[in-house]
Amino acid sequence: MSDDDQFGRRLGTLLRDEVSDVHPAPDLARRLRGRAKRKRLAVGAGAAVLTATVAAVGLLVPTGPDGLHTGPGPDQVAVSPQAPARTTDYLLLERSGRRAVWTDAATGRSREDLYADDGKRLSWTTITKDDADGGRRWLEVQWLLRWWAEGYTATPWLGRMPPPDPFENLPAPEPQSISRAITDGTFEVVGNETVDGRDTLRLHAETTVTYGSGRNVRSIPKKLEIWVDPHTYLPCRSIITSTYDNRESTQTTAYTWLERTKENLTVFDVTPPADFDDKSR
Amino acid sequence: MRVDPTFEAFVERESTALLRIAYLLTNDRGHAEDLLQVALLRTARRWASARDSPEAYVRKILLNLSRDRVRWLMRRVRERPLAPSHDGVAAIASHDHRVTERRQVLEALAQLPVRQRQVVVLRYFEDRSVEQTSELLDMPPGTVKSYTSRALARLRELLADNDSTNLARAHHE
Repeated sequence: MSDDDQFGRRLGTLLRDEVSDVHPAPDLARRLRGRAKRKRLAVGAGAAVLTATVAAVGLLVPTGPDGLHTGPGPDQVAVSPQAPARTTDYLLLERSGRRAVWTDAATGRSREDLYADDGKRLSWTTITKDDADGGRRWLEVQWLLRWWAEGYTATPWLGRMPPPDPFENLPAPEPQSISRAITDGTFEVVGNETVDGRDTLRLHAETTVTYGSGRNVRSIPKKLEIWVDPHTYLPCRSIITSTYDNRESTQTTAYTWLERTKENLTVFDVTPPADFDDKSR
Repeated sequence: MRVDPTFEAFVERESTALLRIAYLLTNDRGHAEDLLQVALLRTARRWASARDSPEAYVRKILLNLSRDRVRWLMRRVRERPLAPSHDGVAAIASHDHRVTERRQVLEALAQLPVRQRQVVVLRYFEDRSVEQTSELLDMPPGTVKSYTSRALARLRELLADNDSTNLARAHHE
């Protein structure tokens, strides 16, 4: 048994002990019936506008002639005018500051380019792809220092903490997540706007990202504005504003959704120049 | 209104286990009960399709609801903190070291991002395999492994901040 497994099993034992005195209220079934009734009444009030998304209630069958039998579930309201686009149909290019990332969701490949401080010279390229066993294979080329390396990691996150993800616990900037977030109210719909000559839907959310641990914990409020295609929900721009020590900083990301043509996918075909040093070992 | 007796039997049989999962996911007894009720209610409304495998069905709803809850709290963080202050752990006055340790593990768990918390609860509290966890969370097994590794590494860090935690000490030696 691995060290992780032992640690995890010990955690599980402690957690089971900790919650051993947690029991549901004895009248849970009665409370459920009460909530069901309240919910159905609320649904009935909105039934006129929700008729298109009716879902029959299969279990809690009304016995009276109150007409509530076919009341729709409010969690099933579809707000998208059509199905969100599938990210696997596209090659995504994200540009932010001195960084450009290509992601091919269909194959799990990604390429990250970092540019030098002047923003012109390509400094570092890293290409990663999923491996069948859940690990990742990677190739990196340091263009300015003229070396390259490749390798494999079975547990890519072990031993290092990833940088805080500004989208952590918020919807990922992809159509399915955005669609769900609009439906469940995570995103506030600000309205229609034109970005780079295209019609977009502007969405807004706020969150707080926690950094550090123990007594060094710091919470930084972040605001997310994201502009998406109103029909496919493909994002085209996002701006994240962070407030730190009463100062605001912004990070703008531009999203380009490219066709998965053979030519576009050559972005993943990187071969280190023969005269570069191999630092794989 | 009448309720399918098989559903009531299901509630009777599973509600304790489900409430404990909800409690670990939320670290709040009141919210846990609320999450459980909403999850059971949604299961009830889809009982015709859920009755073949209601345990998995209701757990999926519970897991999704716990994510929604975290998002809701984070959007309203100024009015309501996401989790109790970490300093609160040290303030726990207990003569029982084991109780303190359990409490610290619970507080550390509450500080994990929700996906990592879900993976820890399913893998080690419910003792589910990577494949079962993968199915419940609708994520590839490789991602479950990644989240598990990240979560355990983070828990080690958090528990190492508390000198009195045998668990952390044992795994740092």
